[in-house]
Amino acid sequence: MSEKNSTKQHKKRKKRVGFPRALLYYYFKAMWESFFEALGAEVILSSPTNKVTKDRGVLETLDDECYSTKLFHGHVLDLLDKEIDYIFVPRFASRKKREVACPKFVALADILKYTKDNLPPIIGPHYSTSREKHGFWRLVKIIFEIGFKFTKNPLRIIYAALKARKDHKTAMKNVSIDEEALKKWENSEILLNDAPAIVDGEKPLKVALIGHTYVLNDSFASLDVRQRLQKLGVDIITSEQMPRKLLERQILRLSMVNYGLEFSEPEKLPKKQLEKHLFGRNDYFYFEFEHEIVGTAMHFLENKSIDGILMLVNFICGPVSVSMEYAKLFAKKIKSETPIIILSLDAHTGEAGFQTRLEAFSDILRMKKSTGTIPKSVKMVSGSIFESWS
Amino acid sequence: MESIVTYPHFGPITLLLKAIFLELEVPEERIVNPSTPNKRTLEIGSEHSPEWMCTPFKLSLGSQIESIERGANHVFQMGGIGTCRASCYGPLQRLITEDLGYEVKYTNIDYHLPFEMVRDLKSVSNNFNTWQTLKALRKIWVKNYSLDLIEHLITFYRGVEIEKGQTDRVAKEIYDKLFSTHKVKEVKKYHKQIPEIFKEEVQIDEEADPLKIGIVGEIYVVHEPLLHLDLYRRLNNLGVICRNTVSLKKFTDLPAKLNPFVKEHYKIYREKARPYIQQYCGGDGTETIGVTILLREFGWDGMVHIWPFSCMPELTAQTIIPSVTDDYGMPVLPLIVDEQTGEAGFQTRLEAFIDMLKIKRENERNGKTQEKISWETFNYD
Repeated sequence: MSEKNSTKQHKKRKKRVGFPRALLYYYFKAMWESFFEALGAEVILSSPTNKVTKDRGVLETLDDECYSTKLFHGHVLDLLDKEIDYIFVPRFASRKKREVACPKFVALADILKYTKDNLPPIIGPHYSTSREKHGFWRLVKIIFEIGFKFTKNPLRIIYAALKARKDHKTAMKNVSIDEEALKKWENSEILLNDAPAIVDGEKPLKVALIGHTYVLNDSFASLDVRQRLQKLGVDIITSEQMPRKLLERQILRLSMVNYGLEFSEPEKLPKKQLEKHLFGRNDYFYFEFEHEIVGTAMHFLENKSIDGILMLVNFICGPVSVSMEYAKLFAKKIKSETPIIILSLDAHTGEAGFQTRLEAFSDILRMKKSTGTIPKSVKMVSGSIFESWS
Repeated sequence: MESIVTYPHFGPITLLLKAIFLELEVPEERIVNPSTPNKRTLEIGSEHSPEWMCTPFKLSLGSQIESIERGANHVFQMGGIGTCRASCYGPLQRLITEDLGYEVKYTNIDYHLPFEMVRDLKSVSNNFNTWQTLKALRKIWVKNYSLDLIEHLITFYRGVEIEKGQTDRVAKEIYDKLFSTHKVKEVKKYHKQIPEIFKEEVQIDEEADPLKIGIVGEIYVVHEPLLHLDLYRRLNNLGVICRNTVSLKKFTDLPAKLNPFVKEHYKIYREKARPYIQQYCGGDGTETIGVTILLREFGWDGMVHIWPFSCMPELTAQTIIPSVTDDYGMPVLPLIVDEQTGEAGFQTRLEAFIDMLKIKRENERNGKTQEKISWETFNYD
């Protein structure tokens, strides 16, 4: 009797799909979760990043991988303990015609296949618009290929896909603000994140926190930077909250800078002239997830609406090495007065040192706010973790 | 302002880039050929580059700055929409040189945009029309075949030559002859003679029993002697014959691209790699895996995988290669180079690797004798 019951339960049991809580998950979590749930699967997440995840990930990977990739492997190992039927690691290359993601993302699934034992079947659709010219029909193929693993009803698959699309759009809308809201934030009319603590009865500092979504939203990987800043009385805006249109405009300007068109506003140029300069030109900054980093930095370096910029990046991250240089060169070129600090993170970053640097940065910003200049005793370029001041 | 053209140094391929401007009949006073890079070049480059950027960027920037100081003001560099950072080189270096106070024009060559490429090259030529430019470019890809062939011949003959230095001398003569020939027909005719010349002029030790090692990795590091620390010569001096498997042919071999009946070499490599990685992962990462499998099937003894620190595609390949080694029994030595790589550690690792390969070969051979070596058995093209 009990045996029969258990087989019945086994039949009823939903198929479990595991998501490593790292890298691309932070960009597409709403879409993936609602898609698989609508298909009738059970979504299993790896536990939030902790010390065990980090230690296992670091042991598992090569030394020159970036910190986030190391954590990704830790999360996968964590998932393997949770009895999952499938693991979802897409081979994601790009989603726009002229843009690509980090080249590591496209091979993550294959790396897992050859480095981990007893791995469940990987669901790893390959999608690349820029190189393979994938488009709508490829997407349909992917959706049905995945869908038929969980249900035999094609209508349900279509429903799941539409629901995922809708949820993704609402999630993106909820995260990023429009330009009006940005203006309001710059004028201290609204708050975008938790209210900052009030230190010494002074007005909170305004700082842009720039970094990859998978760094800023992972409280362990980013060493709780949001809470730390909040306690220091800093009001933050993160780069993922920035209005998308504004970021794209900044990136267009960047490629115009490369062509000697002096920072003119793209919307002021006639459309034909813009196309003539940009179409077929081969100096577009094509790393998709870097757009929010460079774009945000460019916007705030130019508008003196905030007190400082804090850039939080992974050590040896490939695309960031380019976008950091773009931000620095832009700041130099327009002789920006907004202080920018670049802090790099890796598996060995200590909390105490991190906290000291944040405190020093906020102190300097306060000094600059009250006196108008940065004191001369502050060295502008120094040490290992302070990438630079400008 | 009259443009004075320059281009970054790129190992033996520099000869080819030099030939492009020679064929376009750019007057001598309007071209600055890059000098052979040395440690100073690399130092200048790293000083002005982003810290985490890959080493090829730093060396090519240093090489450009040296040329710019010698009077150049128009740089040809890679650009485009790529998968790894290589296509960022041009735009970023433009901003860096501008920040340093130089007034330099950059032209980013992207092989995905052939029309723009021809137009840009036409604009620096000696009033050529499009047809003349195409004819000049044709000579380049014909010469590229010979360049690859000479490179392979050198690394073969230098490993087994009796009198040291003979191969280099012969190679120098051949390079001179090749790049002073301008007619396509003559180049093609000469191309067929090149193996014969080596065979006649270089005496090889026929009793020798050298190991055969393939070299894979990132294209710039594989070609630039300063970055790979003269890897080929080191291997040859240890009595090993080696072969570079990464070629510029991937980009320049237009006849093979247009001919539907010919399969390009890199596509064969990617097909071999398909069980391990199905999609293109940027740079030469996929090919690295394919070559490793292919050379094992040809009976080669080992591979050296060399790439610059922080290169993303090769790192992906390196993560997968241990399982290729397990499956096929092909030993692979990973070597990561950057501007601070020391020579002694490099040499020690190579020697240890070769000793281990010799032991492995003895065990596998089990007393059987090796057939006599010759270029024909070595060449697999």
